[in-house]
Amino acid sequence: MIAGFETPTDGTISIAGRDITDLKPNQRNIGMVFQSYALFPNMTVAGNIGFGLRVAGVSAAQAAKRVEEMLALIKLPQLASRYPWQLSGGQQQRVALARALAPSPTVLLLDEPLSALDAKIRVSLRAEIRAIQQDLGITTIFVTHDQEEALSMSDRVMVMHQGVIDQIGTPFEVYNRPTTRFVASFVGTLSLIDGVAGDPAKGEVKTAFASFSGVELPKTAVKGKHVTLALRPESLRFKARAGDVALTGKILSVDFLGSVIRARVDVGGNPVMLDTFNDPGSPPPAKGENVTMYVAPGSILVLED
Amino acid sequence: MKRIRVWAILAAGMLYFLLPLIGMTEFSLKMRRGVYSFDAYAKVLADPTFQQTFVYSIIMALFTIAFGVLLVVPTAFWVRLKMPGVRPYVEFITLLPLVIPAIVIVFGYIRLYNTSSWLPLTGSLTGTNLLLMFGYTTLSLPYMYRAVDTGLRTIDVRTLTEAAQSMGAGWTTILVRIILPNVLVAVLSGAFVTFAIVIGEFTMAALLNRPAFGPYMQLLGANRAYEPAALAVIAFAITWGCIALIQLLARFAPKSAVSGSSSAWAIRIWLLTVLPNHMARIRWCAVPAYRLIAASLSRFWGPPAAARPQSCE
Repeated sequence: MIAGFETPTDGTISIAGRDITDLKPNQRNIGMVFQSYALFPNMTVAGNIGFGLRVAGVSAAQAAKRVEEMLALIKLPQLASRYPWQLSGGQQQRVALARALAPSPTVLLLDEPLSALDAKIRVSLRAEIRAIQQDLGITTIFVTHDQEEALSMSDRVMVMHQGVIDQIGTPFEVYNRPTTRFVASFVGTLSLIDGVAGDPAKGEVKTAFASFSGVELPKTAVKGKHVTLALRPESLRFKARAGDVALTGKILSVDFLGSVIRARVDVGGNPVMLDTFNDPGSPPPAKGENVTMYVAPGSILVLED
Repeated sequence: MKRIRVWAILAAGMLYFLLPLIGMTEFSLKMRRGVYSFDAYAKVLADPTFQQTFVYSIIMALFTIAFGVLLVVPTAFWVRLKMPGVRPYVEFITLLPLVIPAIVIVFGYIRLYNTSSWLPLTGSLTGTNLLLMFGYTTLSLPYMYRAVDTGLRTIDVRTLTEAAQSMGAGWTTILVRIILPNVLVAVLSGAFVTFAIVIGEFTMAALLNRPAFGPYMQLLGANRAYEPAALAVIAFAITWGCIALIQLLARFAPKSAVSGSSSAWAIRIWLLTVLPNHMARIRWCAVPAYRLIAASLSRFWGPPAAARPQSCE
């Protein structure tokens, strides 16, 4: 809809105060990068980057200069005469980015641009895209299903669920203060425990195996209402701090993830995940071991049904 | 053993296919008694009617190709992009010329566009030529549409169009600069098949009374002995030249465009359409070749020369 390929049934779309709802896609001055790169196979890298400029009627000399600038921006000046099929996936996507940026669009749309790339290139390219975006100061809308990508690259994250915006906020807000059950479960990993709200003023929640106080309950929560406690794996620890609540259980499994070790612990029949940094000096807990975990009540999320 | 059997079957197939062609070519070279010569070819090529009809057919073929490309490429593109639901119906319509004989089409044209109709195209030479071009376009529609559609299948039409649109390109720019160059090999494949069809087409040109190459071949075939065989060889050489050109162009095509498949498609079309048009002549010309082989074989396995009937000699 922003690019103009779909027609909205209701509402308006404005860019910098200009209503573009009824404009054709080629009149919107929007740069777009696609998941499948969508480079024109019959054109060289330079031809692809200069396409928008030629369409806009920019002189050949100016277009060539701009193409050179763009090639320098994406750090591929040596590949100007190559064809798309002669490039790697990462290079193709960089060229696609340069092509979208060449006509100086008002908004840049990135439609899952990194999804088709392998993990290592994805990480390096996302840092590059972020750097280019910061450098040019261009408003960018980045569509992704990868929460890590969304959180690491954005100034503002908009989580959509079934075509409706569930939450808009900074990555910190969206991750730490999700407003809906979907956002909480979609962004990051959570362990869910059923409970009943106690006195909302004291932030009390009772579960089958423990009582919590000092938990931030939703404003609409009333005493006796069923709620769900959501625990981030990184908010649980094996060492206690002042004011922590203790949870005891038996380790179901231990996953070694490199820098982090993730333990799944059975707490009163609920699987609860805990992340702890990998310390080569102290071996991770073993499967079947009884452990006590600690969590600060302030870091527990409470979701209403 | 299995390998030998496969090769034997292949060899038999090749022999069945090539022998008539060899026979025809051999016959076309026997105009001068006792020696092989290119007399028949020289006679055909020197004939002013040959030159006139051939040039006429080439010009008609070029116009047909241009009109076909203008008609088929935007249609196939639009159907793929905006109306994928109607694709089976469009395919059905484009295949109709395969089941409706050319004579039916041309009679329909004559009835609809005769001098007493609301659009009297047959009343002038330009109008009749135009009508013939439309007829040729109709005949080549199944091949042209298939070729272009196959070409479009190899590229991501929707995403490329959206990418071009997001950079400010209009429909004409998208078609001319993005779509057409990426399906060029497919378009050329369709174009060469169209060329081959137009060069050999008889019914429409004869009934519209236009001086085309097809009616000339027919006329020559009815009145001469060696020249028609030479003409058929020339016609085959042109068709094979077209196929070779498709192969050659496919090498220079963008990687995403159709390459080998389009030439294979063109060969298939040639086998199904152009070749049968010449089969009667080929079979007739092949008789001496079969006789030659039969005579050679009988020398090894046949009865003694004295016992052989005179008619076999």
